[in-house]
Amino acid sequence: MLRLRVQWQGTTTAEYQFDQREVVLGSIDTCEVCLRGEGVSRFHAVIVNKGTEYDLIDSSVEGTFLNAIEVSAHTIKVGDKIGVGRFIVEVLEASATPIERGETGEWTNFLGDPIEHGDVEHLLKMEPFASIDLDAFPRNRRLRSILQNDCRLLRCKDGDIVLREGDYGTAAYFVVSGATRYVLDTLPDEILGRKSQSRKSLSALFSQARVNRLIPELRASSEQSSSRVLGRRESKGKLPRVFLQDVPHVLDEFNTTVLTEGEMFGEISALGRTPRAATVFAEGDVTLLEIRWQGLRDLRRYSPQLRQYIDRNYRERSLKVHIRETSLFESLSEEEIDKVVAATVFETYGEFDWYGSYKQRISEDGTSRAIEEPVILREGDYVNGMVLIRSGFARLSESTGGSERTISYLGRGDTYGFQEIAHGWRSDSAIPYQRTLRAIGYTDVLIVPTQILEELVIPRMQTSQLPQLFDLENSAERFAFGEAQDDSVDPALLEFLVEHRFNNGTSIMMIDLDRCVRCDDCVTACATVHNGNPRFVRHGKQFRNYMIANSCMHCSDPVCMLGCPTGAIHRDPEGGQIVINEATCVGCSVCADSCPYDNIRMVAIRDEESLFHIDPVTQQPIVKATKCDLCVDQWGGPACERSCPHDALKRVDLSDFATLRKWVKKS
Amino acid sequence: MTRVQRRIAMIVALVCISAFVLLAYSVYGTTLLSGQKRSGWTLFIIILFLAGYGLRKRLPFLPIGSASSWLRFHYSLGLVGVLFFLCHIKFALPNGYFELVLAGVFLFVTLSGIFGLLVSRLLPRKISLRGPEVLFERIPRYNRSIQESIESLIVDAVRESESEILAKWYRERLISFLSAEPKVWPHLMESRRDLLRINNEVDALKATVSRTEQRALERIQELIEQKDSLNHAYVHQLILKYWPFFHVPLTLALIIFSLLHVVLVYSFSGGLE
Repeated sequence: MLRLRVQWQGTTTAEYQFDQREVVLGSIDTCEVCLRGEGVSRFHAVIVNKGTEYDLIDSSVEGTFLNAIEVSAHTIKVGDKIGVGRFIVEVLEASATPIERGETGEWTNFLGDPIEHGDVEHLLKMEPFASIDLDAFPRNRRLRSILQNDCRLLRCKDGDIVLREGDYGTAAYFVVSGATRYVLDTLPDEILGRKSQSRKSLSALFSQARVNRLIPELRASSEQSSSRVLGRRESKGKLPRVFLQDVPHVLDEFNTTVLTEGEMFGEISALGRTPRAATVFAEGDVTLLEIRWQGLRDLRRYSPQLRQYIDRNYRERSLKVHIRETSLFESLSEEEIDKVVAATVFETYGEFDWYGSYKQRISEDGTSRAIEEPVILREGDYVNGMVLIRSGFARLSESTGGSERTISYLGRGDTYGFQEIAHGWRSDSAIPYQRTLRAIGYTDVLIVPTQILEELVIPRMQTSQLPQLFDLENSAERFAFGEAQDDSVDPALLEFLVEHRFNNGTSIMMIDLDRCVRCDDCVTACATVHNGNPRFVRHGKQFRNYMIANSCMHCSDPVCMLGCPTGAIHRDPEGGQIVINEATCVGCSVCADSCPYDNIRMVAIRDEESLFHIDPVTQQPIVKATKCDLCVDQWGGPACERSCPHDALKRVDLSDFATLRKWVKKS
Repeated sequence: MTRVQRRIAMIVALVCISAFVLLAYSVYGTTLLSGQKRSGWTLFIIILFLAGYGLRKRLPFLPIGSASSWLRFHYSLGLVGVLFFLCHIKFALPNGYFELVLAGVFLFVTLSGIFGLLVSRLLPRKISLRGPEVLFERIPRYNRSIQESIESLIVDAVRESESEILAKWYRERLISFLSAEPKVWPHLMESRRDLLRINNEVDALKATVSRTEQRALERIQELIEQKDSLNHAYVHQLILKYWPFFHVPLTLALIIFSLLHVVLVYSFSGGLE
């Protein structure tokens, strides 16, 4: 129950009482609390029932104040005074009650049930757990505790989708009983719960300009029909499960293979933070052991058998592709590639779920952050191999006196250490690593041994192709060589981008404030192509004259995609944009809660009469996740960028610093 | 192509086009043919193209080139349009009243456009140099918040020190500074005279008040600085936001007057070419 009292210059003008999920405060009639006056936006702010508390979320251009302090999002309590323009909205009662669906507090990304003691005993009798040496595990991380704390039992019914091709996930699955089907072909978008992102027709382009902009988040009633291919299984207190309506059809039309008791799947993508390679669904009643990455990491660390099993799978399925993609190994034969693959070691550094502590960490100072980052290799260490970044980012730094100075950042596909190896080979005198490499957030690396490079790669290269020798006498010169180095972008700007993890973005909205005339044409254009609802805020973190606006960055490590129960948020197979299929979005807010940059918003959708669409089961307003879709269905790319008359706004891909360099140079 | 290279290319192209227009005009001048209608129609089409930029802004979903390309084209075509206009009026003032008004409107559209070009090049940098970015629509609210904070500081200081010096100073001097509309010209000129004046007053006041009041005054000085920065941002953003409110209606008037001019020319040409 939410009770509000509206005051205008000390006089009470109205009192309201609500028990719905969202209450919109704004200047137009369709808002639940209509406040007409100077300084009030059409949809100024929203109060959202989060199950245990109410949150106030600002969506205005003028700002929303909570007890005279400007807030963008804040929990409210009884007695709080919300400033909207010259109105004061007093909170008289704010007793949030859990909502059947749409509540986020108690949900986790797990789908399964907690494991009971008896289940652990049963699992310990099964292979491969039965043959694991229990004494190999440290006292504080016993196998039993891993099974109990990092695993869940997932009981699926016939047709339940366990994994979707292209999704990201942090868990691997082990078949305890029953059988699952591993689909060898790529399933159509409809089966995967996705929407084919075809471009709008010319008439659709024009009709979007005529939409009724007085109704926020308007969705036609006809769009709310359910899928014929997929069904949804609801269970209280859990994320809903999606199942295939017609399993025999899928079995007839597509190539599948059976995974039965004792087999594991999903471990490579869970450890490597890569998209799931295939779709897996249950065939009949199946019980699966869902192992989250922390458990998987420790199982691999302390159990040689499991390590061998996972590593063998990884070498067979993924490693070869990565090695082949690396330019250094382009000229190698198939046998030589196999030799490299066999010798390569792969390791994971940092926090897999770095996004959980992101907001707290960015408030700390840069030096303490850098020191806390896990070391991949340290300056002065013996050179035992070349590091190849497989996913994530790493910081390259050099010690200067008592501290470290950041020199560069390495992203996916970058290497470090080859120059030291080449120096040793050419000058016949081995030198240690010249810099320290640290994992930023989460980094997955491959280490190719020195011996392999000296045997297979360096002898084939001409002297001109090899990196320059280090000038060990002149320390200043050590910065002048080129491997994985980018010295043409202001290091302070680079530091700012990495500290805030903007380097994760493949399409960050960067605004040069020296050129921006604050005309808001970008916001207007975004609203025009999204039925009157802009999908970003022209506001955000600022470094000198550059602003990173609050818009989805279409991350290379899309943490928002981890745990979506229906696969509604997915990467567009063609353009790589992260998009949401509203038809399959169940409004659970897992994606919005996970996004470390707060670039996903949950909105209650309305019909042509400005009334909320109501879920027939829960009788609550239907909520959907919304965010920038990079105008994937429009012609010509993002409308924001195209509508900027002064080239002040650019969608920059920070997985490739060259794009940034080019734009910064240009501006 | 870098920005500098693009600009050089644009200038060279403009010079070439201008030279061609002037050459064509001088050649036509030596013949018995009348170039008036030709230059008039060309000018009218140029005006329509220039107005097309406004239409482009309203159709962001059409893949018809970026707004920045359109704007560059708008600038260049605008300059060529001025040249055609001068040729059309034969580098002299028109002799009819209506034509004089039409020429005046053209002149105002051109001048407002040039003004827009200049402010959009100069003001953004000034805003970003001065301080953190603030949304224009939020400035009045921030101002109110600053005023409320100052008032509360003064009330607390008066209560603690039991002296009314600050209250009196607030009533007589500070409130007028806080509630005054931002002055456009001083902020555009980056003048800090008003700020210095009020800061000097605060400094002078500090010497005569208690330690509690001094602390309040130090905080008030910070808030006054913030208020001045907000005024600075407000003035600059106000100009950036509102100059098109002159340019766009004048353009519409120009199109209507030009159409009328065409009708009049054909009505009273008496069948002459």
